[in-house]
Amino acid sequence: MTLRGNIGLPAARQFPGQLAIENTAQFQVRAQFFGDPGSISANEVQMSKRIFIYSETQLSDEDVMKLKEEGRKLGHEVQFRSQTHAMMRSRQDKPLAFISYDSRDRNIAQSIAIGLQRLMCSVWYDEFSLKVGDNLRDSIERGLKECRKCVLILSQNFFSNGGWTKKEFDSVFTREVLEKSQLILPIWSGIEKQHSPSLLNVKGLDWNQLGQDEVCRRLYLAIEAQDSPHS
Amino acid sequence: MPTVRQYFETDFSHTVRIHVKFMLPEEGEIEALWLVDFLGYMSFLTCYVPGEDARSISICDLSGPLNTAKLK
Repeated sequence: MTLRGNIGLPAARQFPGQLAIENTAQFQVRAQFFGDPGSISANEVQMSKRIFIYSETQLSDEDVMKLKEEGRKLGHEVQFRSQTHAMMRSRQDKPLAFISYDSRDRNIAQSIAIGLQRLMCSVWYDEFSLKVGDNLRDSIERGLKECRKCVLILSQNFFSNGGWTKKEFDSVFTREVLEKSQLILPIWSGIEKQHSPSLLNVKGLDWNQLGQDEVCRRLYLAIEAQDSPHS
Repeated sequence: MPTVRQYFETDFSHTVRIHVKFMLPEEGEIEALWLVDFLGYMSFLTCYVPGEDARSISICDLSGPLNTAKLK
């Protein structure tokens, strides 16, 4: 058994305190929470019975149950994670909705992104989904390709923007035609439907009239209906 | 699609992760993590078994080294 000399620490935002690694005869990791004069050693922390096994081998349900049973006899509670787990999780992690907006309407887009996330509806929203170093075009294209629905924040700003928002709109519109499906969920803000003849037949939501909670609730229902295996 | 390996490396990111590795005759080199959740005051273990063709995984074989891992 060898210690790889590799210790991963949580991101600063995820840990409200300080962590110290003491590389003495008895190796130790100590934690101290902000404002708490005491500290805890990793060795004092209670050991759970849980063991997660990540395996590239795809076992049958029967073999997994045997493994769990074998674990229980030895005092462990085994959780088995293989390719089936990875596949199902990745399906769930995919954004259900893409939010397209003009940067001047960021407050509306952010309210919708937060509101939908609170309802456990994953969204592609640039501020949440783009990391430093990401290829902007690739990431947006992937988001547009994988999403089930596209929420468009339609305002005077949106229609006067000839850059990204126009490209996103064109891309979703093309996808709608090719897939013969209804992907666009329009949110109107301060303008009338007549601004976009192509959206005249799509029922949208009026941001100023309904507000964040109601818009998010109705969007969620529309996205969830699409997500449902019975739809 | 993220791989099993990627989930092994990125899950439980709120914990302190202490990496160990050991050899098993059947499964080969196994990587394990002792994960310490200081916020929840609980620690637990994860391990990664490589190779897509292992016929079975023996918890008996894993259990010994994993228990040693947490004691180290």
